[in-house]
Amino acid sequence: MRTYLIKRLLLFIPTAFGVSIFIFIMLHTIPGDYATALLLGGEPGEAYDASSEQFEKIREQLGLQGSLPQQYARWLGNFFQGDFGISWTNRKPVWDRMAPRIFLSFELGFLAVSIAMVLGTIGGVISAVRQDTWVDYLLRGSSMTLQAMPGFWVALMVIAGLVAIWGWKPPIEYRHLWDDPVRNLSVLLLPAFLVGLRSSAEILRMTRSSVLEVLREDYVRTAEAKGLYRSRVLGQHVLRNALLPVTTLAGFEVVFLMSGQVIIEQVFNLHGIGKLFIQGVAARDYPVVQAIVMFIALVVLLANLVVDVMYAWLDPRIRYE
Amino acid sequence: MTTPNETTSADQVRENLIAAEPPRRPGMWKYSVYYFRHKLLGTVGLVIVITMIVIALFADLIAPFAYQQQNYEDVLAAPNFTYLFGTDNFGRDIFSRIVHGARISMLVGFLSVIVGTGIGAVVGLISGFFMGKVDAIVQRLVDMWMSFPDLILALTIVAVFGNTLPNVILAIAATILPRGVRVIRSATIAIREMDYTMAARSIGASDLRTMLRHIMPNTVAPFLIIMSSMFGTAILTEAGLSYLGLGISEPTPSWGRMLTGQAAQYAPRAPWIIAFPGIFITLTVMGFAFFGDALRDLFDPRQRGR
Repeated sequence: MRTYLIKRLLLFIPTAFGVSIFIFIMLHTIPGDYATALLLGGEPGEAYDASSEQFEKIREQLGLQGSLPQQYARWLGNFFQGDFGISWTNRKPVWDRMAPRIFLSFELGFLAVSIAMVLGTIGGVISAVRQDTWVDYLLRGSSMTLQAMPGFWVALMVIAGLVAIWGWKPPIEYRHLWDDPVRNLSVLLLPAFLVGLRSSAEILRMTRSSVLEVLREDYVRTAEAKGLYRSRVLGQHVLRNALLPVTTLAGFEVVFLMSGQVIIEQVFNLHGIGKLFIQGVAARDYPVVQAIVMFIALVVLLANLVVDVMYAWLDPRIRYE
Repeated sequence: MTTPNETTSADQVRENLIAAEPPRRPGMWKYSVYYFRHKLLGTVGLVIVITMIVIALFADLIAPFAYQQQNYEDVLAAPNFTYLFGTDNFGRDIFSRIVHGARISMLVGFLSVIVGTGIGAVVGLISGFFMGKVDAIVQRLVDMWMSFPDLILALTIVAVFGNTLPNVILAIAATILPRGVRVIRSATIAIREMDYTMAARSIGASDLRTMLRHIMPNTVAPFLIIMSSMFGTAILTEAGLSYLGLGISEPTPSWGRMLTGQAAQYAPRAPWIIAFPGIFITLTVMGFAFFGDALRDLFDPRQRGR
């Protein structure tokens, strides 16, 4: 177990560094020099007087002075100290813009993953146990359809339906979870459900095939031959073995879910990280984009790390190695 | 007892063998026909795919109205015989806009999938063929690449290079690329161990020749499968980008962009504004998914006859 953990951690560090280099290079292939554009109010790439003092000052403010490796080292150093740079649109620290939004996005993501896991595993088990019955076909059919539908479209349709039929008004005012839990959840539950529902389709599929595989194992037949109740066989023998591989999927689901979350924050006008990211992209505010992409990639890598460690801990074959 | 007449010489055996009808296996074409007749979902998928391609190709002939034509007398008209899918808040015919939108979806879908899986296949082929250090490095890079959520990666690329048609295609291709690498790499590794690859190498075929003549043709099946299954993802990503207003900024309507802005405000009163573009996205994605599954079954000989 210890060697496994150490190996896994050793893999995490270079990957995180690689990702940071990747992001840095990607965002520094921007055509033209943004400092000029900012200074002259023109398009990047226009002629400028690079020696002017004012220009140098702006470059420094934007963290653009020095060679590329120098810029990278400075950016990374600052990043780990919580200094994500200065937003180019309103000249405020990026972190100050991100901080108030992080909790909302994490809460939304956490709710969505939980909903996806619960719906997906329950649906998957039912689908497997009732294999080739109408329940199975219905569950699989609807999950396949769900995967083909754009998440934001489903959200738009649901909102339109709620408004048209019940005169529902989307709650606008967001309150922090600790201040007003009821209002907080009334704002977040529907978007979280919609994001989670879409992700549950993949989990359902995985759970189903995993359960079907375990159902064919000898020890399940033995348990049934002993005369155990069906529910006990399922709970004690099948699920414990079948749900193990599904945990791994939760890690992948985090990656997948984030795309959905970015859009859903836009649909429901939730002021989370995703909405800030889209604002950053639309305004070409590169420090904001860079910081958020790095942040998201780190969250994904950490989530994968946690899932791998959890998997190792849940699986006695690895735990006692 | 055998009479001398009945003894069969080696020559006789050879002649008989030549004369005999070779055992007939159903040809690919015949098999396909049989297959699609018996696998309904695959056929449905194929029909949807072909329909969408035809709509995209002949959009000008199919659409009854110009996509930007505003009919002020018929603002927010419900679906009727003049306006099959109704009109939007500017009185534009939604059916015509969807028909034209198919162009963007199909074009972006096809090109990004070809670029993404194509580059991915080359990298995967090299990675799987040489193994060792090259493979280790490529695999780490792919891991890193996949730690970016699709939409985030596409949005970042669009943010850097701007949202023109080629950039949007490249951005979506970039999300597909690592999956192409994975699939083709594992296929290459399997084929690498085949006897015929061994045979080719033992008679002195160069690395390049072995790769191109012996391994690559055998990765065509997984390549086609990943292409068709990635098509749906590409269309969904494109719709997402367009919805966020960061897709292609051309006058041509796209399905994703038809859902943004004021569409949501009018939706409770005129649900057809948002319903039909979404239905078309869903249908297309499903069509390609069904078709991809059918292709997988078709190319996998173990599945035949089942």
